[in-house]
Amino acid sequence: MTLFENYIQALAKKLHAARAERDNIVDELRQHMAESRQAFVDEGYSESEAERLTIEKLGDPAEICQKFDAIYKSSPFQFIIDLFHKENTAMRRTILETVEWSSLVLIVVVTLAVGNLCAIAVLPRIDKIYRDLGITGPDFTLQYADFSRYSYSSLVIVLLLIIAIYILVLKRWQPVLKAQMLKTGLSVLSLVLVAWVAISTWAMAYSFSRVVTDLQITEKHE
Amino acid sequence: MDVSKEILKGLLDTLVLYVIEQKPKHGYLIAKSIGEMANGQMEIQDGTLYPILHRLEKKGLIRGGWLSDGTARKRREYKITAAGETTLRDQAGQWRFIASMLNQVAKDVL
Repeated sequence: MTLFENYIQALAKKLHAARAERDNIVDELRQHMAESRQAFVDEGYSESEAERLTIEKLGDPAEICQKFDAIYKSSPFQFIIDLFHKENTAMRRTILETVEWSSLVLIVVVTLAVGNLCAIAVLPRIDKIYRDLGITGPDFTLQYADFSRYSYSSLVIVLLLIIAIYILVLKRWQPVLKAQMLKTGLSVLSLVLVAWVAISTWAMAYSFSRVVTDLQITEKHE
Repeated sequence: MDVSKEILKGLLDTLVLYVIEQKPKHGYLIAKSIGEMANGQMEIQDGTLYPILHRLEKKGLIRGGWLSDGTARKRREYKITAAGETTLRDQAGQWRFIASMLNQVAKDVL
């Protein structure tokens, strides 16, 4: 990796601005570096010497990031951290620098997904639970469970299509840096999973409530 | 000459606005213009310029936009806004007042 790429990577890693702003900053600095290197080369310096001088003139990437962070506060966890450590910028920085928000979202998603899978496992057996409790009613539960599964599967497909179109448009109009592709992919995947879990959890809750209501109506009729 | 960070901080905003007011410029040219104004007597790290540009843009004092020169190369050029021009005039007035006071101090001390 070149000296410039190392510098850009170090900078991009420490920036906490939103992706569009981060891309703007990185692209702008890249452009600056290219021009500065050319100017040093024109003055008679070698390529490697020109790169070294350019970086020296730019200054410490951590210091630059700190200044940008004061302008762009975009982390979804920033307000939570601010609540507890409004004055403690060192701790805030450490948390934001070591924990990727997409990883945190993934942890939340996995936890919710496990809970949701448990619900899926329990739902087909709910008739038995009701029977054990002495409540009898029509076999609506399995019907609703199937309905929920089909409906949120369709929604996931629709969401995936929307995201695929978004990525295509994004790639066409705003070239994504290679180094950030993995991060972007992970973030998009996290968002899809969040949407899926939210929809499926809602569908599960809805089907449970419908089963209880239908059983109550059936009991009244009987 | 080593100018202290505190003095430089206030000064740079005005210098950036001034340089952009003369003619719309991209980051590297702004840094170069300020360097030329300082005549090599004041060391400014190029990296500190970009947060200033973004901060001024966020305040609505300048406006940045990507321009292509026909090749793959793109540059983000900054233009001063009406609010930026007003601020520049304001700041220039303040600096003139400060400069007159400091001139007096410098005359007495040096």
